Amino acid sequence: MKKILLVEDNEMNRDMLARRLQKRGFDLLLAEDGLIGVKLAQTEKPDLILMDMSLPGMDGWEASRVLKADPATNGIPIIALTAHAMAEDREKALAAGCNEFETKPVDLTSLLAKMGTLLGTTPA
Amino acid sequence: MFDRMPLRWRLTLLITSICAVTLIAAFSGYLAVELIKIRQSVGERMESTQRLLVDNATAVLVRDPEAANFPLSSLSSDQTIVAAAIYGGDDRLLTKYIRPGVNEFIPKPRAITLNFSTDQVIIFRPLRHNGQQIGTLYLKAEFGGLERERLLEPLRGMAILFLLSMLFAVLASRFMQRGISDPISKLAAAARRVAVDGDYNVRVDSKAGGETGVLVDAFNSMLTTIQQRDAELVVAKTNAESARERLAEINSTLEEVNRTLEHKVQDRTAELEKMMLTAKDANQAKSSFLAKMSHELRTPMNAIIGYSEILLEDATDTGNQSAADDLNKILGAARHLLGLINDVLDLSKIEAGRMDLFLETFDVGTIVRESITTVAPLVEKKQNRLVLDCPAQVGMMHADTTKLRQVLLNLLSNASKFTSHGLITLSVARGMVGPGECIIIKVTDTGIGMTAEQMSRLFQTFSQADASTTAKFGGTGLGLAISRQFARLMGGDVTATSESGKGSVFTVWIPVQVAPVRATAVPFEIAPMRTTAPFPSTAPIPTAPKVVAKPATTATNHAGARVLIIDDDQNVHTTLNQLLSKEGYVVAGTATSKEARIKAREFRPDVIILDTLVPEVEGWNLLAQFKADPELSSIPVILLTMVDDVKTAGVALGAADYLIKPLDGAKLLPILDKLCAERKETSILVVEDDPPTRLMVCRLVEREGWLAVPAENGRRALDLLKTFTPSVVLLDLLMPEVDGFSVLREMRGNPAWKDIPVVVLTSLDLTGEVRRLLQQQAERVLQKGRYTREELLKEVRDAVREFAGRGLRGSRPPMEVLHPGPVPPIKVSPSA
Repeated sequence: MKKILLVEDNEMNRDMLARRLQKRGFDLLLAEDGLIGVKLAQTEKPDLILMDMSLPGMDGWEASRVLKADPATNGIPIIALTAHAMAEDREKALAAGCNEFETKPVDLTSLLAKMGTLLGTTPA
Repeated sequence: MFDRMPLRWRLTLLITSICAVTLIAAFSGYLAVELIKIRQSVGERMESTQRLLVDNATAVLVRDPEAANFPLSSLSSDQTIVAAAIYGGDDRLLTKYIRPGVNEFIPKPRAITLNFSTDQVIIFRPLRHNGQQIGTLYLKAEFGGLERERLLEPLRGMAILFLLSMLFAVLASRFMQRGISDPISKLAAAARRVAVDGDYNVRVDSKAGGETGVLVDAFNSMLTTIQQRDAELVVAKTNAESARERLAEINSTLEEVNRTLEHKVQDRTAELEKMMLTAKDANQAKSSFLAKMSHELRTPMNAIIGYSEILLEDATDTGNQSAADDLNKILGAARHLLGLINDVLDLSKIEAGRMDLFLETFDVGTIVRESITTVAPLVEKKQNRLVLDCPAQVGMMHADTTKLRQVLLNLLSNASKFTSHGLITLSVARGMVGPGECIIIKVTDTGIGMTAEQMSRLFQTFSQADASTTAKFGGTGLGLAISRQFARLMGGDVTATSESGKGSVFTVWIPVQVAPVRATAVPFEIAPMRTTAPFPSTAPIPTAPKVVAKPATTATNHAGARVLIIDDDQNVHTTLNQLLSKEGYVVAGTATSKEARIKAREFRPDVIILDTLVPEVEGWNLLAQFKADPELSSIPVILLTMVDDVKTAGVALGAADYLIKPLDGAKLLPILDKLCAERKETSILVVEDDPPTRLMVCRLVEREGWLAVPAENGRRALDLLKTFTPSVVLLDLLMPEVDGFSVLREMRGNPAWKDIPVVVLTSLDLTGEVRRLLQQQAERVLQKGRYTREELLKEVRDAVREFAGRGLRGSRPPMEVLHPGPVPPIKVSPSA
């Protein structure tokens, strides 16, 4: 069972996405801000991180940079989630070290496809 | 000395001295002659005396050589004889005579016979007898006394004569010289007065003739000339002085004005600077607001869509079909709402000039195929077939992928929406548009297509071909407008051609190499509110004011209103003509539909009465044509019909009202009156100093069926406002004499005018502060060059409605202030 870390401050979005992914057989770790996300990633070593970009405290871009700078975590793929459907946000996310990019509201099919690619599995 | 004498004296002296010299010469001549005469007579006397003495003495001596007692004493009677002596033959003095009282001596006899000096004669004469000298006679005479005596006598007379002559000469010269010297003296005196006192009033009064007269006359005329010159000089001086004073006055006024102006400019500049800062802040706030809104709106949508999907999955899993159906509806609505939100945000961004381009180089084919994949479900849903015509070598382009994709998706989904069981063709090619190489994408469908009228509103926001289409086909009505703006941002455009019932072709072209331009605000064309469709009872936008007490006389509403009657029945024309003319309408008519449109354009009626059964073209078609003609669409049309089932069709086609034949005047008149009243009360005051702009705006307004009252500046506008109440004032800001700001101030300060809506049209780049200030006083502010005609008309319509909504009643200006005739019609090219 693949372990997924979901970093998302909005409770509804976090709950929603977590439930849908759990239903598809993923093990979910939840974090509500960047700092907790980074800590959880370091201790739990998830297989993939779904990272919201607009977070309180340490934001998603900063958290991604920290994780990608840490040799212990830099191998974990990160998919950036952002409400800004703007090319510049995607560029910014990729520049921060994120491996993929998904626009909110999340299109589950598209997200699962991307997750599958990064995890090296076919989507559930 | 002589030189300094007065001329009078000199002349006198001259004449007198000439006179004296002449007299002296004459007298001297006379005296000389007299003297010679005296001398001759003395000589003669002496000769005779001597001869007598010689004879007597000779005789005595002959007788007595010693005759000493010769009677020489007889000589005493002769005054001239001073001395006499007789010498004997031996020169012995025999006798002598010396006049008593005279000291004389007797000289020795000499051989000299006669010695005649100036005043004395001495004679020695030998006394001979028989050739032998017997003695000598000596005689000495003096004439001095005699001469004096004889000369003195005439001299006295001469002296008196001389004096008298001189006196006469003096008097005569004094009298005679006056003719010469007087005028000259007067001239001199006058000249002195002129020279010393500078008195040019002096004139020399003289009747002298000759050269003097000429001189005097010349002098006088010279003085007159000088005086005239002086007077002229004085006048000129005075003029120059007053001119200088006026100049100084004007100068000071100018300086004052300048100062005031400078102050004003300074104040305005400061104000503007402040406002600019405020506007900058406001702009900043606006863009951050937009960014925030996009996040804030999308987040809850995210949750709604997400949970709906979860529930839908659950419902599907548990086989709860009815819940699944409902959830599908929620999902559909939510996705639509999200689409709307995205579109509105895009629009706001474009409008705010916040839409930026993110340029990258990409393969055109990839984007095209991706879009097809995305739109595939929609295409299939309507059982359409999609054909892609994209050559492999179409290659790469440098543009904004997101925006290009959005444009493609919009065009493809539109084609799918409005086509069923048809063919959609997407062709992509490289080509040249203007000077640059472009990617040209064509989306062709075989769907319902559009009419020319629908086409004209195609790219306007919130406009679909038909109000009903939104309900039928979905969509926000924003897609095409956004697509066109995106294409234009990238330096390209979207165009369309269509034929109703046959399908449409949308063409996008975008430069292969898009230039990275800073986005600026792009004006949108806002679809006009359709005022034509429903009957008045259901009209959503009443142009009539909320009923305020109607004037007692209905005639005032329609006096001079124009009615065009289109009917093939001559009886209808006759009846209506009589009826309406009596009511004060101006009536024109035509029997054929062919003529109807031309007539309507020429006559510019306030109301059209249209028979639905005119030959050639059906009345309905004619009505549709009127409503599709921008010049005529605003004219209310009353339908005349034989049957009572026109209401629905009338609503759809935009008739204002309808009447069933045979005509009932009692029904027609109130309807006409009401329609005319509405039009009459709506007049728009167009205040604009630039003639072409004024004319353009006036025409635009006239085409809406309102009366445009032009005013070339603020002063004229304020004057006009005193004569009538416009429903709306369209106001330019920068104008000569009285500017727009002042007009606004005046209007807002006047209770009669303060409720008249004002739409400001300005080319000024308004800062936030100015805009805010203006918006407090004016209903709307439109920037010239930024608004479209439709936008302007929409604002004016809104303002007209607002005016009515305030319970106000407009009026038209009296005929005499409307000097120009109706605005000439504009040629409108067919909309296609």
